[in-house]
Amino acid sequence: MAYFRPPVPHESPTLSPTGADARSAASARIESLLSELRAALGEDAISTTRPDREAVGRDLWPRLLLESFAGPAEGPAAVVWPRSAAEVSLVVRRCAAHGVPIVPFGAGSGVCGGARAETFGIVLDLKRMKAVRALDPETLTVTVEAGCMGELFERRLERAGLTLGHFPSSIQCSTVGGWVATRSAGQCSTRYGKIEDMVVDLEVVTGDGVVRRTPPAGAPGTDWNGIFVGSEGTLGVITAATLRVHPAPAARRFRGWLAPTTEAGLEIMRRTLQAGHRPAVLRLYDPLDTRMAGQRSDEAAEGESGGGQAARLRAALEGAGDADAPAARALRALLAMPRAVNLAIGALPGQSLLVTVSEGEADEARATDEAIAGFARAVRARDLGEGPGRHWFAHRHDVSYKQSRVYRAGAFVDTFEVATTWARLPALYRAVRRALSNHVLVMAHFSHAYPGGCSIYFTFLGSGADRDAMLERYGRAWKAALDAAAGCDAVLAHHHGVGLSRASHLPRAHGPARRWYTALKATLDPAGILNPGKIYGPDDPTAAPAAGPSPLWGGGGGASPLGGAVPAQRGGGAEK
Amino acid sequence: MTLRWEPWTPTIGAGHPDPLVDRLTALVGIGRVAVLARAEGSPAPRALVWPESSESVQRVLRVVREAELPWTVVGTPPPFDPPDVAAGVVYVCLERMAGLLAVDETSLVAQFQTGIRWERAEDLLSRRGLTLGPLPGPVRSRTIAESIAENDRLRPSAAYGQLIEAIQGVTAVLPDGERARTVVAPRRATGPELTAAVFGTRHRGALVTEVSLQVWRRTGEATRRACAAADWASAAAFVRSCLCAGIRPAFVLASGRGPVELGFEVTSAAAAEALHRQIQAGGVTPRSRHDVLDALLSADPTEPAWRVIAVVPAARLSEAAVLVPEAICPDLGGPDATLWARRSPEPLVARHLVALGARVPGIPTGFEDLEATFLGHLSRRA
Repeated sequence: MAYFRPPVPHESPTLSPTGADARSAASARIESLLSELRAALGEDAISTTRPDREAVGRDLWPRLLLESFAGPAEGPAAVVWPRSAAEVSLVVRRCAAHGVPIVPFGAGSGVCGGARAETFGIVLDLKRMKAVRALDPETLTVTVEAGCMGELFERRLERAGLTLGHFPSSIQCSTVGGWVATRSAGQCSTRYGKIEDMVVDLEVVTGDGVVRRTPPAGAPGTDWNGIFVGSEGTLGVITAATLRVHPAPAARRFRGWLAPTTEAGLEIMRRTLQAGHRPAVLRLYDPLDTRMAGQRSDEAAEGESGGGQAARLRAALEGAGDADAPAARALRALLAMPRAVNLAIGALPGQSLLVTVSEGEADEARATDEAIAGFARAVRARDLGEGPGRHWFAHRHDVSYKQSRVYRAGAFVDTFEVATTWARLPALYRAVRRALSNHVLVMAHFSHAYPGGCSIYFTFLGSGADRDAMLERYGRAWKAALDAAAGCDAVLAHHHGVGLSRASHLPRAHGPARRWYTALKATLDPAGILNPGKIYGPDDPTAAPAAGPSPLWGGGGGASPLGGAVPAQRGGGAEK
Repeated sequence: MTLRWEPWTPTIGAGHPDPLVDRLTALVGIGRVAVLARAEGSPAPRALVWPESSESVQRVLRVVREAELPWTVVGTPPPFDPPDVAAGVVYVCLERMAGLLAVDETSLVAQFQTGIRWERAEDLLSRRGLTLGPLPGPVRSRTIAESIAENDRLRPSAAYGQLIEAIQGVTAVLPDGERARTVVAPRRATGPELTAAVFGTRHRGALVTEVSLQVWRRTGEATRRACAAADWASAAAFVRSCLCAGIRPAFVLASGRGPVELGFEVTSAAAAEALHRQIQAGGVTPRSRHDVLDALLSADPTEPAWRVIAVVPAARLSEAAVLVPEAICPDLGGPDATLWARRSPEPLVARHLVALGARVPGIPTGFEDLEATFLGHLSRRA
């Protein structure tokens, strides 16, 4: 008997105990836990007020944003603000003893539901752990606590003439710990790597409450950094990280190229990377995203059907304010017929904008820029000068702030980033675009390039007559996209992580390899309290206490078909 | 008495006295199972099996698990003089799983069976104008499976990275015979890096049978440059200045107890020129050659004796180098530096290295208990 329904992308299930008795027992245990924590950590380390709980109850997963239109979710039972790894250890030990789930929390900028709180659990907000413990310009390393905000951290490095080289678009609202926990990537990852490439070692509190320091990157034996990076708080609470840093670049060169086709643009990127160059940014927009980025290469094309649709969409997005504004109505009208609009846009001239930023010492920046130019000219791309690169650089964090406008206009927007090898990239792009086209308006750009492959970042917009219709369309779009990506043998996330949004497809995508995670979970989180239900979904047998059902989950738990003990019943779809 | 492996050839009506041998032969084929001929009554391994594919590894491990036999993986049949083979063990020998399965020339990704030796893999790639990058002596005669078993770090390279890090996807057989694979992609964010859990577990987490590796186009002749620095600290500072200037050598090697000799290999004329300028700029003394680097990067089968003896925080490298003066360092410039030597440090020296913050193989890391528990969970789940 399956106790959980398999999760689907358009649901945000919770792991709440059911039944009045079970809830009452869970509440009593949490009260007991909180009393102990107050005594140990002090009153100011814990809050049960509704505003505090709501503030950390979810991340920016669009599904949860849509759900919140009906009112904020309950949030966790409490939020706890530890000041040190020792305090985190204490909290983890007490939660394990009481069987209370913990959701580690940075700044809540995740977009996959990975920080979704459990009603009968606590949130461990790490933002009081924000110190830069050590900065060594000699060996180019920095040890920083997990709760340090990204923007402040980078400014601190900047003052020392250094940079981490990690610039996610969320840098103003994300933490170092969040970056590590989700295996994030910054906009300059092509030069500096993803966060996993920067980690030297980690301080982690595992589910048994032990504070551990991982062996350094590059040491023989098991790579514990690789195990904790990307584990999304399910295997341990990351409390600090030692990271590689770099001298701030002495020179930076910007450029824009208009490639005759998207494939030609990809060819420029591939050849650049395989020749050993590492520009900071190589960012190729597909035809619609090229228009949205403001690059109108062919004015005549604006009169064509697709060009007109793109222009209308851009105008609608820029003008959309509240739901009754004309631009908002125009936006909803466009999004109401996604198949037709996508079809028209598919007829756009295939020109694609490639934005490049080359940096480092002056010689290196120049050499990289010139190498790209050579590859670009070989495919007859048109040199647009510095303008597009400089424009992108100046506005590189703007995109996140445009999203609320879409929601206010009565629509939704989300992103889906996948990755594969260069050979499979065009087929992956076509398949996911086609899959999404039936449900939402879709555009994409290619960034985060490597010698062997690249990621694709799809942006999609949709609408519906009401909130429920939007949720339904949102779910269908996600399912179609995930099916298509899995069908192309692509990885289902390049840098946003899994959370809940992709958990439905991960068991199938990983197949028996999932058993490595399951064994890790049982090893590192024997009580099953660390961010349960994330990554593989609530049907994950390791989401529940391995030793048997905790009282938190109520009576009647039993063995799952996969051999683990599971809660008696899942809380349901959490349609609140 | 001469001990040797004797391939078993079954005949109709005459099975092997050990039914396991017949069963394994039925699974992997005639001539692919051997038994050890040795003195009557003395303990002997149960069998040596040469699977030729991931599927046959699966079949073998299922049978071995059913029979609850210990098994171990070898690159070649184990030697007998001295007779160090283990009693009752089934040896899974990967020497016939040494093929290049596919090459994606667009993505520069090559798929190999893991029984292949790195130097053989490089040889096969070179015929297509491709390369894995530099292969120092210690790694050349290793199989890919051996490198994975140890998660070895024997090819530190600023330009190419570690060989292990070139792996973009794997096929593996779990201890109970179930086959797993990971998607081939340059990076991912789908939970933890699952292969990190099994690399370095000496095949106990899984036997990785196939890998997809990032490879590179050959660009021409490699160029070597050498110089000398006054001490370890200034050697590290010089290498770091090269890296910060955008020079990414294919290989850097440092050695010496007084002045530190530095050897570089770069793979492009531009990098060679940039390095030359950096050397001329001062802080180091130009040298004509670096013998240790030359020997390490030449096809010298006598070199594998070098091994990692410590990973040392770069800030403590000078002190560590005094403790192990015979060591060489192949990855100067990063936050940690690896020391190689031909023999393990004395226990007292090892303790001093640990006190400097070094990770020394064989010295507990604090994660041993977790590794054992992890493997226990993995083997329990069938």
